[in-house]
Amino acid sequence: METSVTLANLEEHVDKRSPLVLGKETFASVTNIVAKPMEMKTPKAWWICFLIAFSGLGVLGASIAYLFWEGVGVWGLNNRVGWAWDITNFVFWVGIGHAGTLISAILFLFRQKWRTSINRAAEAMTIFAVICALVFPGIHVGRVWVAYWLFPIPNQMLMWPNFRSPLLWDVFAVSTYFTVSTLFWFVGLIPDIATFRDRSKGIRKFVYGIFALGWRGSQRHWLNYERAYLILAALSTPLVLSVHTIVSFDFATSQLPGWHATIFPPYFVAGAIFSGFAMVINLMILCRWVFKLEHLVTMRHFENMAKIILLTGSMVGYAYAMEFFIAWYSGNPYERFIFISRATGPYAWAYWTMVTCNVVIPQLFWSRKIRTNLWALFIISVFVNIGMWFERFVIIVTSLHRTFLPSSWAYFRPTIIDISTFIGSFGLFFTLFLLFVRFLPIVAISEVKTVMPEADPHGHDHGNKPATGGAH
Amino acid sequence: MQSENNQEKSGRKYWRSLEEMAETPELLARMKNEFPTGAAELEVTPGVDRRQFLGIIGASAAFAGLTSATGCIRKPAEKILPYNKRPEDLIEGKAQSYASVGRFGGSVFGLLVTSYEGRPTKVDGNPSHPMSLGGSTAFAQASVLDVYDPDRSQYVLKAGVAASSSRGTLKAVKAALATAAAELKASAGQGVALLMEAVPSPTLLALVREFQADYPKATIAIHDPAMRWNESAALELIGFKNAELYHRFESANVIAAFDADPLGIEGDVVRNSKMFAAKRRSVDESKTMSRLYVVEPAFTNTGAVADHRMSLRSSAMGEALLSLAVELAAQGLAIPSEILARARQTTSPNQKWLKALATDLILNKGKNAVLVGHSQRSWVHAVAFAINSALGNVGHSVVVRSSPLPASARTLAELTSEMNRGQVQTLVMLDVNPVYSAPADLEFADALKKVKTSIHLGYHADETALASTWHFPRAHGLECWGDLVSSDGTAAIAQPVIEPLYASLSDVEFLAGLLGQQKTAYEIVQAHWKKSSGADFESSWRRWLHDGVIKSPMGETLSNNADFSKLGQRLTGLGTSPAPTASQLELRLALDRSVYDGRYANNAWLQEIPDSVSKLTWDNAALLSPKTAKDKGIKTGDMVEIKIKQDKERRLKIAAFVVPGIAENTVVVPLGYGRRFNGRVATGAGFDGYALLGRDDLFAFAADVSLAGGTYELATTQEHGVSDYEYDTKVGAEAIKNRGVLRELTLATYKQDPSLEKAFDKFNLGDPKNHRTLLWQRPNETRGNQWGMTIDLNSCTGCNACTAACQAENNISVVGKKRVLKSREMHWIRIDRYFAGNVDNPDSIQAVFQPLACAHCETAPCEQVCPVAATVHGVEGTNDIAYNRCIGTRYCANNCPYKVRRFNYFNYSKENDESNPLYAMQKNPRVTVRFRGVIEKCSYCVQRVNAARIEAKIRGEEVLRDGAVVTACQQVCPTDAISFGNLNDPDSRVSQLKSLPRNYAVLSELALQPRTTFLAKVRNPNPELDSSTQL
Repeated sequence: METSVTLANLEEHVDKRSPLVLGKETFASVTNIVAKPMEMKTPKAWWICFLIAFSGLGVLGASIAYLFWEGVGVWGLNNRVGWAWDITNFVFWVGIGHAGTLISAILFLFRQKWRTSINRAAEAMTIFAVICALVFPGIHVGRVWVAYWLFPIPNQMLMWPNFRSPLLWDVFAVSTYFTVSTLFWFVGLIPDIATFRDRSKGIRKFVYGIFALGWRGSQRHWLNYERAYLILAALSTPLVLSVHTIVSFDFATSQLPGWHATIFPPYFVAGAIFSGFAMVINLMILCRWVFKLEHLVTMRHFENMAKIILLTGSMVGYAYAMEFFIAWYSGNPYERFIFISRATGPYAWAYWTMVTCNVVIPQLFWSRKIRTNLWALFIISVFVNIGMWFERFVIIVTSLHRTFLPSSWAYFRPTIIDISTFIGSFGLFFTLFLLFVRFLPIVAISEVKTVMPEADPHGHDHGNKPATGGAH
Repeated sequence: MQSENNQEKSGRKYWRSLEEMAETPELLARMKNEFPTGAAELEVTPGVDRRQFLGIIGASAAFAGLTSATGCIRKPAEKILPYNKRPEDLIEGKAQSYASVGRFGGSVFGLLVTSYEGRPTKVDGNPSHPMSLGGSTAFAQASVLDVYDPDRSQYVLKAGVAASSSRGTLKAVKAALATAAAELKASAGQGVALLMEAVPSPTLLALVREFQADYPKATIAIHDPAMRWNESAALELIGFKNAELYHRFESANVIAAFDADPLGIEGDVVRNSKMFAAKRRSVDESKTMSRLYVVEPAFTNTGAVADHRMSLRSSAMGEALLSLAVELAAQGLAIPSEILARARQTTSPNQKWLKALATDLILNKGKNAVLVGHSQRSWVHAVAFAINSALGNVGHSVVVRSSPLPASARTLAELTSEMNRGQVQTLVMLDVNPVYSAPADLEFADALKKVKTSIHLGYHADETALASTWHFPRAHGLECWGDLVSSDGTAAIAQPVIEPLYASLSDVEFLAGLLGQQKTAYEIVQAHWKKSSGADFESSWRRWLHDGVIKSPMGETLSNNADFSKLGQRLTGLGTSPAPTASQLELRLALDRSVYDGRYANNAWLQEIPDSVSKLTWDNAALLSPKTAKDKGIKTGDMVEIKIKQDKERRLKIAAFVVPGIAENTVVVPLGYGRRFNGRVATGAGFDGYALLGRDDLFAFAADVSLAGGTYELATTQEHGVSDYEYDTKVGAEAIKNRGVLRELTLATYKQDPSLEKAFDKFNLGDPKNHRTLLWQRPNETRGNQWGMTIDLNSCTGCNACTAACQAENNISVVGKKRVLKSREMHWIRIDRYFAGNVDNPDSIQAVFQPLACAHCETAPCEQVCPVAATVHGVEGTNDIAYNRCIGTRYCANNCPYKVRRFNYFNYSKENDESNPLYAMQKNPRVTVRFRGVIEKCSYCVQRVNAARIEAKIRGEEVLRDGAVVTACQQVCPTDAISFGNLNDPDSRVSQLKSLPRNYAVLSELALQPRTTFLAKVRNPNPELDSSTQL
């Protein structure tokens, strides 16, 4: 499946940089490649995928409607295990989102130019994942009709939320994250939307025109744009770290053994990036294949992401080991108990699924052969996300099912509604993503162009010109 | 409430009766004239009669049901009806208390009934009654729910069918009764029989004597599922005619119970528990304690608190007692020779154990008690009496009293054989249900078919009602006049607090009616007491009603002139019982701690209360020890078939449940489940153990237990849904050991060093002074009332009374079996049960109970995490919830280390009301009914605190005096294990208890500083025996 062209940029040379865009692509051909999925007649395959995804969304809607009608009891929760799939799904989706922001903000600040061809899709993924995540805290409360009390809205009761509660910090953290991510994504989209305004006709032109905000590509526009982009990148960067840190506070600040751990913030952030990159790999492999983006999204991109997965996966593995070490080293019997119980108790199957998927399988990425094999990449990434879902499940449920008093030990079993809500959230995610690939450019055209040799303002070769090669 | 199944049915049924109740004007008119004389005492509202009030309440509930069925209105609109003329002494919303008396599981004790605007909402023990002393039982607590039982009998049935004309009116009932009385009269006394329970009601028994006078040839038979007749037969065997035993635990330093449960469900459990607990608590002042030895086949509440417990099958109890007699004789006690002759032939099951017991008994001569369970055969009782007599206990801890019951009463077996012989043409059955609860080998239902006319009075249209010629609905004890006398001779008048909800008769009215007397219960009871009272009857009567106690005791104490010669004859003819083997188990049937003999099977509170030991709800099961189960390859939840091969094979398919503490090769089946009448709560709950019951004993030999194929889901509140019981027990035991949740010492260790820190506090954090700096500012704990509680593990017998009382007081919903299976039960106070000892050695197994409700932590983890500040710290140190602010994130429940918070996963209270709108009448108006989606938990009965605060404010007191607030669990506790009060008052009882070295906080190392602390358990093992297993 891979030609020598697509693998051509894997090697870094001392004297020259590997190209980021392969083939003999020009500015115009890049635009055409990206515009094709948006401008062609809606393919049947898209409709089929959309129908499936939309049915999934319907399942989500029906599950939530049933949940609202009957009460939280339709899930398998009980008086010992007060959270299970609901919060697991929340953390899972928030975690997925992190890769997008990391790619678009942190890699931007670090001038990692390879990010340009994947950042748009990754950011879209972030926003859609955060939307999926936001569903769960909203619906998991017992009285949804007063869920707005979580927000500090002035009211006749003169009641404020409890600012000491990590759940409230979550409200602020996740809503800020969503707002900033959306803005960042939108700002990045403006030049590309303007391109499509100019390329399309009729109602499409009108709609794109509105969102292009009058972009004309003038020097001043570019200056303001780059400033705004930089500022938003700088704003997003701490959020990559803070959101999952605060999500981890839900657990870390409680006093439940298995939750109460200072390692949680870095461990959660690493896990989030880990799962996020796995999701980006999955999505990009599909997009690249379907929309023929081989020259833009190259094997080098995948290899880089696989390396990040290897790194964060190892960090996560280190955290698992550290948790056990601390449980032993602290001398805290409750802590010791819960970790032994995780590995050997009724939920041992979940624990070992997690370890296998998150720690063992990603180690295959030490091999470049595997790193550069799309099938392997795809399958391993799926495993990583299964593992990361189980990580949250293990943290939440195994800690709750065996707490301090042995009299109150219980077992959680999901109901069909638990399962359908989770599956439905994928429906929501893919519905949004399919709309995205149909109506918005999945690759940041303007940004990709900046990493092409043509964009190099230097008249002569300064190391950025792969094709011409030659002497310095 | 199993509302999933019954909602629709109940709704329809209810509306039908509503029409009859509220929509026919002439019916209302009739009802107005229906009040019996004496109704003035009922505090009946003039103008609006109670029935009309009911109609309106019901109509509004039904209206609410209608609107919510359309689904548009979340909070149902309700109509209220104010008094247009307020009765002079009635303040709306203020509770009224009435003294009464009740009989629960073989014990008669005084009651205080709380009533709001004519609705009884709670039943408690009467502190002035010697059998209650303020305490009561789960049965008594739940009895108030029975008043509002949706399935109680409402109509007269003729041959099992409701009579068609004007049914449901008292006039119709009385007319029917007159017809039945005429039928009885027509029999001219030929073949008349009366079957009743052993109800010690002076008025009723006087009527029975009148019945006997009218029908001299009539057979009077007593049906007693507890088999207490064994005791009377034993007393008769040794020369006491018509007598019964009464135990005084206050003068017993050593108690040896053989297959008896005097602290659980046998006899005067409330008084026994009070007296027993006092003898345990004396450890704090005098460092002395009583010692309790228990020999039993399965854990009872008594066995669980024993210092020494021997697991022994029921059939070997007599031999164990004979061996004890031999030991006692060997140690110099004068045991009658008639007994010794036979006793020397027995081999003791555990010689060392009995020897130590014998030494202990002799050391405490005259200050101990040897008890035998009611189900044991009469000779065993007689041997026990001989031992008590030789030890000098008779007259002190063991008292023989004359029985108020008719002397010539027959047993059910004797009556049945008369019926089978065709000697009974007319059978009157007074509040008994023999078709269900008669031993299977009597085949009572068949015998009943041979009776021409059977007249039945019962609370439900139950198995017997449907098989009888006539069935009359019985009024609840809180609805009618009556009287009862306790086993110590204290009599009390039962006064009604509500007009019968349906046209029904009291026992007294029914029997009087059959005798052709047209008087009301009030007239009959009053007339009876007028005879025996002095000149000023009116004022005595008023005092009796007010106090709930009639001071001068009835009956007499008999002096000990026992003659053991007949016992000797009986003993010589006695064989030995065969020891069970792995293939032929011994079957022990037992009265159930939740439904007794089945009479409480339709009570949702009792069905959902977890059994003290097995923690089973909604079902019974065949209980097996882990070893026996393993031998037979049976696991918890397997369906097994039990077969008893006697002249006719008796068999039952039942689910198995493995629980420690059962004697080896024994299977225990609680009775009272598997009811076969149309009760929406009882139907489908458990298996009918009566199918295995033989006429002589509650135990049987040679039970063949085999896997029947299939499994059955059993709902427990501990070890919830555990897939691997053995693993879980092992890991659990390890965890308890490491955690110091339970703290238990022996008396010897306690005497040496009463401080608990050394033994248990591995983190050295038990002392608040050692607590680290807290992140949050500590609340001010030095001003005003600061509430706190102690629970004495040394007293607690795990009887569940607190759980039931809390449910009644705090409007706690019932969730049903399916949700218990999902660990969603709602009880605010639960009783954690832990085992200690070696699973494979039943003798070493001990149980410990730990009642646990919200501990009201000073630095409560739940308060910090609530995002909407719905649960906050009160100024008086309580951990409060504003239900209306709760949005239901359940974060607080997750962060609660005690796991005492309960979440309304569905709209349970609405479901409860829909399953039966009458349940709403039981609700305590001072406690908010919780809506779907909110957390709830123990509030330290904040409504009672506030009521006491108002009282104090009226009196001008700043700080409430000690004892002004009594929580529901504290009030009911028959062992006074729970104390509640102001921690700022150094003289308050709770402060004093907290200063004891036994005081400790569960999970103290978390620095939560809970306001509820526990007093460690102290066991008093006999040094001669291996000291009990330390937890």
